[in-house]
Amino acid sequence: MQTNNILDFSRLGKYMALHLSVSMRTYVLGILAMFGGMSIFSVITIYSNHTVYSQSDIIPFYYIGMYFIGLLFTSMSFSDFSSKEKSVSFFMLPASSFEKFITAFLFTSVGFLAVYHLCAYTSFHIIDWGMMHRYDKHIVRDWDFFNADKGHIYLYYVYIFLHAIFLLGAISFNKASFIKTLLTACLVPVALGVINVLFLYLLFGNNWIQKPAHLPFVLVAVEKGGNGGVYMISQGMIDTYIFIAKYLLTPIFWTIAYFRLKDKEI
Amino acid sequence: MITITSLKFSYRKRKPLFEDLNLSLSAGHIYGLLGKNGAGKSTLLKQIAGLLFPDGGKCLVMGRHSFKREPAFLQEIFLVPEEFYLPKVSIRTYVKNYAPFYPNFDESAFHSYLKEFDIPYDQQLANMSYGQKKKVIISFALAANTKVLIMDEPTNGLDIPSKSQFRKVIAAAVSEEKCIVISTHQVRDLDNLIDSIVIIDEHKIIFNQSVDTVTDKLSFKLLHQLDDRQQVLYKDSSLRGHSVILKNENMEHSKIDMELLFNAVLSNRQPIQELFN
Repeated sequence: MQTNNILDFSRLGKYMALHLSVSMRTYVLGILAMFGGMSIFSVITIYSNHTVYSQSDIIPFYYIGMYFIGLLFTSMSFSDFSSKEKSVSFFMLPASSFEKFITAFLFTSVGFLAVYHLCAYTSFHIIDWGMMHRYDKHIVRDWDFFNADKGHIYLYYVYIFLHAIFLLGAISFNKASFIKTLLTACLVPVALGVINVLFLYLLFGNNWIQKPAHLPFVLVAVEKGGNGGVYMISQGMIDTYIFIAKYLLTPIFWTIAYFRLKDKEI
Repeated sequence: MITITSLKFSYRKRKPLFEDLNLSLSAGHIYGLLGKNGAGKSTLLKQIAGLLFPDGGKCLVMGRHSFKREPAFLQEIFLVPEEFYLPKVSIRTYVKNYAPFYPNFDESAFHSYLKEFDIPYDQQLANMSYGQKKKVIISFALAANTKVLIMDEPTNGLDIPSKSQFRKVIAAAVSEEKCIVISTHQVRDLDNLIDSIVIIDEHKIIFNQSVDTVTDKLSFKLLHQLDDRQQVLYKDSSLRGHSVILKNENMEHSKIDMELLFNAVLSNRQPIQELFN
């Protein structure tokens, strides 16, 4: 039978089992640390004098935890590249680059989110139980996680986008990938901002108003001269921007990350 | 089995490592890849294994481009690097996790190799010495029964008895379908093991001959006194006498001295190469 060189589900299963077996100790310790951290937070919350009345009081901790732990874990997904010996073992293992990529992708996205939410859910119920025990009140469920009007759902979109960025960073940077990706992710918008400013000087000279009357690549207000006023890109372009940001940017980064892995040399 | 054609490669621009390198290795042989430190042996092995990509030319292994690292290619090639990684699990767990990726893995052979090396099967890899770990990875590589087996400095870290055990297990594992490439700068370790010699120097293949051809054309002798009438191609004098390489004009059979040949090819390249052309 001819070997499928891109994706073979049986081989993918074996690879996932191997990955889990080799990383089990690290994962168990990580989960224990995460759950321990959340439990300590729960106990402090219960025994502090500040009563938690509603979900929205503690929700920032949930998002900060998800972003920080999730992205840190993602940037460690290809930590094998920090050592030459581990890199050789990784690349010489008879599984396709796609199977190796998809395993890291699934463990850091679906796997992490499942475990994180399980820990967060348990921790929330511990706090709720504590509040009931101490103040005879349940925590008010006033946070709609998927509310689009209030923008709550976009926090997940942003997380998925950042996950793609940090996955690419994990493959691209062999060492200290979290810090390096974070720096790069901060520097790229700054560079784009500088390019935008250069364009504005080219187009309007010194007549454009700086802060806060311009939105890079979208809107600019011009202060004086015959052509004064607010210039904005067309609605079609705004829609295109939104479409790219919502549906294309993240898959593009995933695709780049995959090809980066495929083309990696030791 | 392994065909390298017009290979070009450089780590840095304007500093080429390989330029127009050609090499063909066939099944049924144990090749000794010899060269000084920094000659390019490990880089060549990495090219064959698909860990580095050619800048030009081709590196085909079993008809597949190695740089694609396809599973069909990877399950038929095993690389034992000089510095290697083994996870912190027991040998049993290691085999359970890694062996399913190699369709021809022979577990009973693995047990017998471990027994030969005197390594207990139930041991934890984390508790082993470097030499013991090396024996485990060599045993696994042989039991994987891949068509291509590459070993980079496999005898580094092995004690003297283990080196002879190594020669024994390699000799037992060779077959008509397998191509084994052993790279080393400790040429004496390959005595009586390899059947073909490839010498790499200054990033070029300068010698590629079978041991039989070498012994047909050259004669290796230990002389107590040198005779001016003899055309000595290379000599190495010591307290025991003069180890010499002579042109084998009388079709005498002599045992190849790998170290002497290696030094001769490096220091007196042209006359030796002319003999084989």
